[in-house]
Amino acid sequence: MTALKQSIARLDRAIAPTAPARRLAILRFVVAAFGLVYLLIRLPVFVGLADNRPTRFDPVGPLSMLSSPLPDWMLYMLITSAIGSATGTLIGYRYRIVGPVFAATVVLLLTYRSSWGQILWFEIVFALHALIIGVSPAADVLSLDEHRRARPPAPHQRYGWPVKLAAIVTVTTYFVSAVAKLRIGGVDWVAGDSLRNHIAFSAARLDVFGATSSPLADPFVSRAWLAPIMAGTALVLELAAPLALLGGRLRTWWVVGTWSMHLLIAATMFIVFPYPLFAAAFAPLFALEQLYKPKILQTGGHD
Amino acid sequence: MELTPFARVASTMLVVGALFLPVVRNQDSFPLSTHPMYATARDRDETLVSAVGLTEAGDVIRLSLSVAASTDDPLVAESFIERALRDGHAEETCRDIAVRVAGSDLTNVVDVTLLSERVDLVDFVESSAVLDRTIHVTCPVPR
Repeated sequence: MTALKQSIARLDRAIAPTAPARRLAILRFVVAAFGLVYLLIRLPVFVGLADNRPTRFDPVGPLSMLSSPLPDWMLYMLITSAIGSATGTLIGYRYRIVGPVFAATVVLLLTYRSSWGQILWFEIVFALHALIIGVSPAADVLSLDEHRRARPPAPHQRYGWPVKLAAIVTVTTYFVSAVAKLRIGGVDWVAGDSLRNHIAFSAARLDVFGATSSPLADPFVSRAWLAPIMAGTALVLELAAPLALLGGRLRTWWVVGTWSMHLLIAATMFIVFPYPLFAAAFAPLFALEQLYKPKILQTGGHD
Repeated sequence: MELTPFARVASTMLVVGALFLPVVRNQDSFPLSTHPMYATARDRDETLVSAVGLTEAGDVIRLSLSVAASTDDPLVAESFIERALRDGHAEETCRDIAVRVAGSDLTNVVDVTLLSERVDLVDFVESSAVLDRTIHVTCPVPR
């Protein structure tokens, strides 16, 4: 029994390190800022869901019990709540209410958007991070709610655990991607021409819809030897993702490598994964409070 | 409310388990997914679906993502046309697109066609060569 307790305590220290409240608060800021900008930029797409024919509706995930699309007023309320709560989360206002609303509305809205015949995988990590941030004490500092406290909170595991959990989510999704490639595509995915054909397919798909494909697609496609090198590198990066949790240089190299992979995907295929490309997906892997130290907080308090 | 170490460890394991669940069940969903993007071993020989506009003179005009599928995402547009063809909604979808064409600046387009084009992907990128073309449905643009 004692051995079990010791094991749990060791594991707990690893997954929930004692951390200053600022680390979680800055992650809240990153996730909410991304969310707010993303929701506003994509607003026409979300609003446009109301015009879709009901026959296209194919609900997934938490909405899979729905038998028909949401009424328009409910969709508009969901969009408004998501944008409003993203703003509230960003500034940390009435967070005990706003945080969970942010988590729920972002997950539901993005799930709803993926319920029209095409799951949009690039939104998954953002949705999961929003879920974690929204239900954690992420607005104890660097927020409008901050003044409700008599004094700054001391570093605590309650601030370290959500950040670590978000980091675990990031690396696990990459690892699962690698598993999918090996399971679905097998060794051929690396050794064959699959990646070259995927890049060619993305360019061709843009062409048939009258859009401009990447100018880098043609040079890449015409050099067949590049594909196995890039595919192998991508697979190694995804399989190595859990190592990033160890921190240090290993983490930094993994983040640089994975970010570069997304940059290359954007450059050759014009497919943008905004959350990792703007580095938000990788934020929980870093001690964020060390990157951002407002002078007013350096003079006193626990943080 | 403070969580105990056991609750934190158990919750973390549950989250990781949930992330692996789609892989075990081989069922993609949102926000728990198998992350299958680019995972298939794609062949060079591929069929592309799209919507095109036809002018009175018989010229073919590629319809944009927004006109063809009310989106700016090629993945969504492809899936939109593919599902319409697969689920037997081709005519209905064609009419929807024709209405959008009528509301756009494509004033010279008189008909809309949903089609599949079989291509060698590498050749298509290099020279736009099409091996085979299948027209599924054609509908007039309401003016």
